[in-house]
Amino acid sequence: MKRNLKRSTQGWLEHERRGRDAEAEIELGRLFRALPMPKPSSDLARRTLARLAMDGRFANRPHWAYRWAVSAALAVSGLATVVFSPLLISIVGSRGGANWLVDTAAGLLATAVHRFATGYTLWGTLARVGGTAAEILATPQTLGLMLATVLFGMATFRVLLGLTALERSSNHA
Amino acid sequence: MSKRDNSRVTRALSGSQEAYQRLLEEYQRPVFSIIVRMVRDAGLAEDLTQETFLKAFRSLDSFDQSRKFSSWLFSIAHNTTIDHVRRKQLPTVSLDSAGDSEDGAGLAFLAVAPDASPEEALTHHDLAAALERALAGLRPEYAEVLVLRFQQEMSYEEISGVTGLVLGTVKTHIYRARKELAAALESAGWDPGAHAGSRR
Repeated sequence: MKRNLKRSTQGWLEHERRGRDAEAEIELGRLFRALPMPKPSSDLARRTLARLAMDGRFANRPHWAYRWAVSAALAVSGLATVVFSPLLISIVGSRGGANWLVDTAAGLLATAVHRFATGYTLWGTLARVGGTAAEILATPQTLGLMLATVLFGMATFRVLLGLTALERSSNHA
Repeated sequence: MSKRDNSRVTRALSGSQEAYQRLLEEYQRPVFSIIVRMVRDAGLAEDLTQETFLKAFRSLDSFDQSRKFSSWLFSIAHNTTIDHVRRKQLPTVSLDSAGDSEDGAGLAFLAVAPDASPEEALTHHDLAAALERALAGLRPEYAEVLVLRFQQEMSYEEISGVTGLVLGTVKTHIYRARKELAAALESAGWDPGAHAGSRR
């Protein structure tokens, strides 16, 4: 195509000189198509996309990603149903049929509710004890009283040790 | 409008960055090609190309998808560039200086086929450069209609839709542009008749 550039130019100019408009247009078209198309710098697209991103024009995640995630989840669910259904049915059948399944499910549900209720009650009691202790300890007066009690206990213990030592020395004597 | 463009526009409207990117990659070169021939400054043409795409993408929801996307985009490029030309009153570039910018960016795209002989490569480059200079010497609206008609291969009706000119004016512009381009090339020594063989 590049080699035809000169020929196209001369052909076009010849047609123009002779006033052959239709031929001139065809030849000029060939000439333009043989010309390299001007090219912008390689980062123009990146810069433009960055400006668009600042406008918030892009969704946080492309829709196709959600579609793929949902499709994959459905496919896995379907596969699991197909694979495990016969297995589940055979287990249920070997254990005594639908009654066993209902009894087991009801038992599991009752156990779960009971454990939840027990745990909730215990958690509530502990929470109340902890809350009360925290409220008491949170005042300066209580803290001072506790410190005084500890110091008094230490002093009493020391006096008691002194008395004990005095009594032992008098006994030895 | 092509199904591919239609799909990309729909996906772009739903926020797909990839769809915007594809539209940009597809049309940045044709848009830049039109604008740079009108303003004759590669840096300015890049700015106006970016402005064109930003305007187009920001008003994408108003785009009538029964139209050709390229025609709609080119009309935005046309309006953006004409607004700029009118604001700045771009001077006419002389044929000798057109494309001879300091960094040579004006004609930097005149690549030569790797299999061309040195003589062919020289002729090709000289001729392409002469054509670009001749194009740069035309009025911006003449250069634009030539590019739309002969590089983008648009019909007169499509060019009328892009430029907002009536059909008769489009035909007149193209005719006069052709004649001026031919005269410019002949005066540069590419005359097939009297001066044949005077250039390589």
